[in-house]
Amino acid sequence: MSRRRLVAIPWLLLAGGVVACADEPPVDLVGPDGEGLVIPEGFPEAPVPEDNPVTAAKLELGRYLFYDERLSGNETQACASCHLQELAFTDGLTVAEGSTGQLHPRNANGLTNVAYNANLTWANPTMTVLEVQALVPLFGDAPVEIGATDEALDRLAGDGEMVDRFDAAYPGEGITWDTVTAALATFQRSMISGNSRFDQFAYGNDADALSAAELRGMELFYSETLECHHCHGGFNFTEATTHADSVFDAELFHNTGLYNVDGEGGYPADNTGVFEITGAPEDMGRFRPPTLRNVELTAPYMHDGSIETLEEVLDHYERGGRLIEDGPEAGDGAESPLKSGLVAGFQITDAERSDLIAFLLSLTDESFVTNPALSDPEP
Amino acid sequence: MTHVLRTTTPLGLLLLAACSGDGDSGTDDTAIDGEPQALSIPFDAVVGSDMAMCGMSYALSGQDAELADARLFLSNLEVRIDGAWQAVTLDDTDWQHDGVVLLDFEDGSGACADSGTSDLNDTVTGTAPAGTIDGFRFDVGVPFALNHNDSATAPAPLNAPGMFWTWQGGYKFVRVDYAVTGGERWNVHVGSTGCVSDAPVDAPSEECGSPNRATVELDRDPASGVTVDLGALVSGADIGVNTAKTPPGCMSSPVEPDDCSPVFTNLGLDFSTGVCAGDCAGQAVFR
Repeated sequence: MSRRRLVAIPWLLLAGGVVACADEPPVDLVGPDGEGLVIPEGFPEAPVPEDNPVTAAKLELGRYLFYDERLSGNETQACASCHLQELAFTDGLTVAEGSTGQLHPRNANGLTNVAYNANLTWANPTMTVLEVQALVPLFGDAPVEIGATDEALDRLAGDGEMVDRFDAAYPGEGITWDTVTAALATFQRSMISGNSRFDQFAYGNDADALSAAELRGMELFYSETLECHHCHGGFNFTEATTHADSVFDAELFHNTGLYNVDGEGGYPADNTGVFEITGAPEDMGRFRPPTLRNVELTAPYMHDGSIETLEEVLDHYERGGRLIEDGPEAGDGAESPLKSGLVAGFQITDAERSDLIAFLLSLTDESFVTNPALSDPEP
Repeated sequence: MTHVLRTTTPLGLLLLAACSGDGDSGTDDTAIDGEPQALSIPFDAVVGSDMAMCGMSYALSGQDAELADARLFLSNLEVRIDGAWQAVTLDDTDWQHDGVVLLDFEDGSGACADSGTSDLNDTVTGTAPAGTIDGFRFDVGVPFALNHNDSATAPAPLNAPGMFWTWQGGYKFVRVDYAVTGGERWNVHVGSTGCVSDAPVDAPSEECGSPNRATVELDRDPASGVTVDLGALVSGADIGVNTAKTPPGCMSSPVEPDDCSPVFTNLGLDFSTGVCAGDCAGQAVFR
């Protein structure tokens, strides 16, 4: 835990309090009849597999499992260990640390609106279903993440309350990795964030929800000069978004010129992006654009947590690629032949930069990160 | 989500449903006795004399360039029968809704991976009144009434990724991006500009100052299909050069007349007014 960098905390305090209010009622995640997800105003329906519809019982089971350290081989880690609600389900670390102490090469993904992700994890074109993705942190061995073994199922089977929850959620199906991952997927689908001040302005008809600086920042965000919205557009602030009525392929991965270690656009060998999956040279350094919702809380940034602040992220995009002057990762990302044409660089004044960041901070959804229904049921 | 949308219609092959002989379609497929007639218009994208596709290199204004996107919205399709213009009712499909069709000539490969999709569509289908058709016309773009709705909750194809600016600006009617070899991107994003609303996330209540919707009229039966020349689209523009401090290529912004004027002229539009120059008869992209 000593490795944890709480870089986001000063922002939290400045922002005036992402503090759970005991009096605040839970924000409903499930429909009034105990079925289906509650979708915010302006959002399309979230995709849900036909064979795993959302019910209140599955949400409860999934919530308990998400926070249950008994899933890990040495009973030290739960999903929530790397996906903390108060940090929009990131962990504040540069890269994630597994239950046995191994470091993951990547920064823990946030789970904000993960139900809408066209692809899951940072860079896997073949990974599209949360039920399947859950197997990666459970059983991945290079590195070990949660490090689950079948003993975890035995531990759950010895807990009468959990047995009852499995029976309620998946009657007659027992305690299996299928039911565990189906419940975890259901709970993650309910992590829907659509109540930021931006949403109150855009969908809630509250013209006063955003300040003048934030409104100026919004204009910049949506400008063709800065191009932010080409990759981070749409209701979910990422174009790599799918929903229940999507018919077109929304798969998107970009090389943003973060690295150029060999003058040919190469990325560090442990983090080559889609290339790792496909082996196609043009896929070197391609990663999925994450949602910018709750970006205030998800530092450090990029797939490897290599940028600590939003200001420095803007530096990277303003320059049109990152320059690393020395060390094994030295190289000028701006000169990468593999860099996306959308990362062309731009020039903004300090005032504009301040406005743009103000707008990004308006995407923080305090009700999401304090919603008791998403919190640890047994804190 | 789905990859089933890949069209099975080969490029350049025209199918009038009347010729298919398929009696199971449930629609009348011949224009007799005043019965409506089914239309199927194939569109064939080229760059000059070459087929337009991701991953190929083209010589344009002295540069080598690859396509990085190639999609456009058409609407208000009409046919001329006995001298009168008659509306065509487009079929409601994943590619067509409420009279709007998305043509998609990029498959997300090569440089098109930046913004493109694997899905393709090169055909417009619908129903026209009976009679002999000797001309047809359509708008390049999304009508104002549909242009500023929320893409996130709009039905396909109006929810296609990468084709929506904002509520305020609406859709990119034309998105044809070029990746210049050894250079920068040169993007053609034609859509309405001068749209007035309180914020980018608010829809304008009145038509935009520069609607930028071209009307294309061709004096023949649409059975012969339409060739869309994405090279002619940028004819006269230097895709190796971009006006400093403006978006790369032509994104319809009033600050980039040098980049946009040739493109708009090629579409038959007057860049300064955002409407057809004359009746858009000077367009050189569709033939």
